[in-house]
Amino acid sequence: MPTRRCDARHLQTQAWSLLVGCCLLGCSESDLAGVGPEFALPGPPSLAGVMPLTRPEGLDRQKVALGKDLFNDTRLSADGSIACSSCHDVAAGGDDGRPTAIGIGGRVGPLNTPTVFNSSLNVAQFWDGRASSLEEQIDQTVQSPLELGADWTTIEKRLRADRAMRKRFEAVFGTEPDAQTVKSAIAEYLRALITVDAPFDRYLAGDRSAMGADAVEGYELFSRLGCISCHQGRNLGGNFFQRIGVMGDFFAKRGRAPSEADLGRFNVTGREEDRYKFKVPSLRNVAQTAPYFHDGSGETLEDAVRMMVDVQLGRPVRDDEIRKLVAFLEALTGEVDEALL
Amino acid sequence: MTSAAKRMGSVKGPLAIAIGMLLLMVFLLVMSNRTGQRTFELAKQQLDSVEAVNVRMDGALFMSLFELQIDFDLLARLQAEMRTAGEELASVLPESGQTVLPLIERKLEAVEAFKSNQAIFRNSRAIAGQLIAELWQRPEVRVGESDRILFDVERAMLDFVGRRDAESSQRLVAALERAASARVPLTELEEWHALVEHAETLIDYTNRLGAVLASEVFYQFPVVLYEEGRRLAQGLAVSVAKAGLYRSLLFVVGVLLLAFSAAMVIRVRRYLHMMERYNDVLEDRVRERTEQLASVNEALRSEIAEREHVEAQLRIAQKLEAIGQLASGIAHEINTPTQYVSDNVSFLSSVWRDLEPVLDDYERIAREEGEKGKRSRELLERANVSFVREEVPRALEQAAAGLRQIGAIVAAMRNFSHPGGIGLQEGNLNAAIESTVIVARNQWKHVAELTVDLDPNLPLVPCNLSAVNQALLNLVVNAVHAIESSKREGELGRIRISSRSFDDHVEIAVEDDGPGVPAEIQDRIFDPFFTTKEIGKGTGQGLAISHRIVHKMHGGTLTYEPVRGRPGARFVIRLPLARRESSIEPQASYLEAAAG
Ligand code: HEC
Ligand code: HEC
Repeated sequence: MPTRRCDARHLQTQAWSLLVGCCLLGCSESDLAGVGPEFALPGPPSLAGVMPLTRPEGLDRQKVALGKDLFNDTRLSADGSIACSSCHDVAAGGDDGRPTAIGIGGRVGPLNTPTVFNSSLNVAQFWDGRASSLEEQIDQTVQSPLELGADWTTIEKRLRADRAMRKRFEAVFGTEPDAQTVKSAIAEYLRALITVDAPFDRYLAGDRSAMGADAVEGYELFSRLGCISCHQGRNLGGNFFQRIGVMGDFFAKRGRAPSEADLGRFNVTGREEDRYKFKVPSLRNVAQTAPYFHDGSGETLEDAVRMMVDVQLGRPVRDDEIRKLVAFLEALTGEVDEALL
Repeated sequence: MTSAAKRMGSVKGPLAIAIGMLLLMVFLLVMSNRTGQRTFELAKQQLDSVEAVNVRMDGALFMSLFELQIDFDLLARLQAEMRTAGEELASVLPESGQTVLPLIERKLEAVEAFKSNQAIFRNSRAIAGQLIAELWQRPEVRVGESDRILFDVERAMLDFVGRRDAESSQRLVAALERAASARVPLTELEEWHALVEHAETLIDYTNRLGAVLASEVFYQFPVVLYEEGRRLAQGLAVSVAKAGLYRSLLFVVGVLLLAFSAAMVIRVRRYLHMMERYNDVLEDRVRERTEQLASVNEALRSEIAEREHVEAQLRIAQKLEAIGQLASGIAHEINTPTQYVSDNVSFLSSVWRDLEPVLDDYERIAREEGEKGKRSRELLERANVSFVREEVPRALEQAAAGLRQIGAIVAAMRNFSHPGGIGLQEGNLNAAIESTVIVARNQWKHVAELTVDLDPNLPLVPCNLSAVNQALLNLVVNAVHAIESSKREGELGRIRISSRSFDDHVEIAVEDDGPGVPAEIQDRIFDPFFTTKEIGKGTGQGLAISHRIVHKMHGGTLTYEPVRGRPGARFVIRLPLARRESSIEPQASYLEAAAG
């Protein structure tokens, strides 16, 4: 490291780094002698800190409305056959209910369609997180041959031919429709798609009757069994990437060898440790988004939970506990504004 | 003019210089804004915000590591913020973006790896703890050395989780191996297998976590940011210096331009001034020429008019001369018979006077003689002698008067038409007045009563009598016309002609009781072009001629003087008694005088 002057900020940064380093190197030399069996390892983090979702604020209503119409506009696909809404049915969980998506010309993709609900809260977009923003995601989706398969020039031409559309773009952006404004409008719409008032949210807000006894127990199990380690934060997932099959072989259990799409984040970073890693999906509205997993291999919620227990938890879980977990997951279904549907 | 134009042309050079300087200024201005100062400033700001996000991110990592923050939401948000800040930096200054963006990517990857590994570590640790707790509840734990084995593993696990170092991990591995080799029922349990797996996972993920946190990027990041910051500061300093240089150059050129344009303005103003003067001179000249032309024109016009006038005058004069000659001829012809008629009349008168006593006597005798005288009385009666005696002297008297009048007329005719001619001769003006009155009689007799008031002691005056006659005649005719224009039919006006003598001059005044001359044209009445009336007739022309006669021929004056207190005009001729050589043209003939 070259010699350099240190200003306060650098010192501060360094201090943090040093601290982190120290901790790793075992500075906390606690004496464990005499620790009895009753002295347990720290338990799993609780869900107490989870905050309910709230309605998004500060959005441009006109822009959201425009985004919604574009989301439902088949002119965004190459052959005009499908729209975003063809795969993301916001009236039914924000996904398509298929194991894997079917794009233009009936092309079957390798991946399950995730919900668009709350996707704006995710750390990145797509299973492998290759899009760091909604705009980027839309850009890829529009041009992906397996999805809309269109190109921006065509879309711009089509939209500009539509007087009403031009007017609306004029009103919202002060310009003609183009790639950037289309993306911006749809992204705004996606940001509006936050589900609120799920029984769990109401429960968190203090309404103890919002969730049934099974769900409440399921909630405790979710935390105690360790699901919370990965499905965490406000969105119960979506804020980092995790390997599928930490404690077991997902693909063996699935009964099909991993394909390229199964490589997950590895496809983005090329790093060995990212092999089979996927964005931990948000479990909100999960009851509505069957089938499950990136490949759509989990048919029911129970299947998905069992799979999770097997390959992620690596511990025995009883059937009644599975049932309760499912009950909890079912209590995660929220609502969006009627106007957005 | 042309030299001014040339001078103005020479302004083009300086103008080009000024424009050049202006362009240079614009160039300098543009350059001073192009040194990238703003870019560096913005980039520095963005770099600062990257740095700030980085500090917060390290803090969040720390909190996650020590489980002070239970979820990764904060980290996830900071990741997004850092990416945005980096992209903005790249958009402001791509070079900076090139250095910083890959670093950000690496840092974000490290953070992702951290989250992933930390989650597993935490999960396995929690599950391991739960599994151990569950195993302690199992009856199998009481078989043989089972409790010792479980205790060992638990201790080693606790020790490892606390230390997370190589030694403690080896101890944990050793404890697990010992347990495996013990072959007790406890280790056959599903939970034990799970525990072993999680213990292994813990070791695995602790190592991974350690690798992530030891990754260079955590140390590099601040260094690179610092160095980039310094680079930006340097760039900023350089660009500020450059901008400063450009600005001072701008200032210098600006001042020069200002001075230059001031000089230019002064010069241009001088030229303009010069041009103005040229203009003035030009205008003066044009005015002069115009005036000259106008006066030439005027002169020409007056010459033409004069000539026409002279020609008309000439015609009149010729007529007059012819009339004069005729008149003098007639006068002579009349004079001779008149002479002997008057001789005879005076003879008859004297004879009659001699006969008077004879007739008296005869009448007396006839009355006294009675019968005898009867015959005489009859004769007397028949001849109506008493009537004759009454009438004859009267008839003779009247005849004599008539003859005198004829004599006067003839004399006047002779006098009037006498070709006054060359030079001035002593002349009797009273006689001239009288003859004029007589000549003009026909003109005035139905219009006015004419009275003459002559100075009996009027000396002889050097003059051209016929010209003076003409002048006087004109004045009289003028008076008659004036009266005619104002008096009603049958009403008579009054004309009075008087003569007076003074020390050095004599004065002849012609007065009338006509309307007089309006004040506004008084100074123009002697102007030959003034009248619109027919030439030879009418006030204006006559007055002009009279004026010339008096002024030019005699060195006298003819003036108009309004009559005070009543309407009317008074024209006064003053003729000097001693001739003043300078103003009199003795050779000027009547005609020449009339022509001016
Ligand atoms: C052909 C079906 C199809 C269409 C049409 C489609 N999507 Fe998707 N969408 C998918 C699939 C499949 C994925 C997951 C792909 C992946 O992760 O690589 C996805 C992912 C997404 C995600 C990421 C969600 C997350 O949590 O990662 C968003 C957001 C999204 N789509 C929005 C849109 C929008 C907006 C449109 C219209 C422009 C659209 N989709 C059109 C199938 C579709
Ligand atoms: C070690 C991390 C981890 C743990 C622990 C974990 N999950 Fe998951 N979970 C994942 C990942 C990663 C996926 C996505 C895998 C894929 O799609 O290939 C996932 C997917 C799921 C899905 C499917 C969601 C969808 O929309 O496709 C459900 C349901 C689920 N998990 C529930 C659970 C439950 C219940 C638990 C606790 C019993 C749990 N998970 C524990 C990482 C975890």
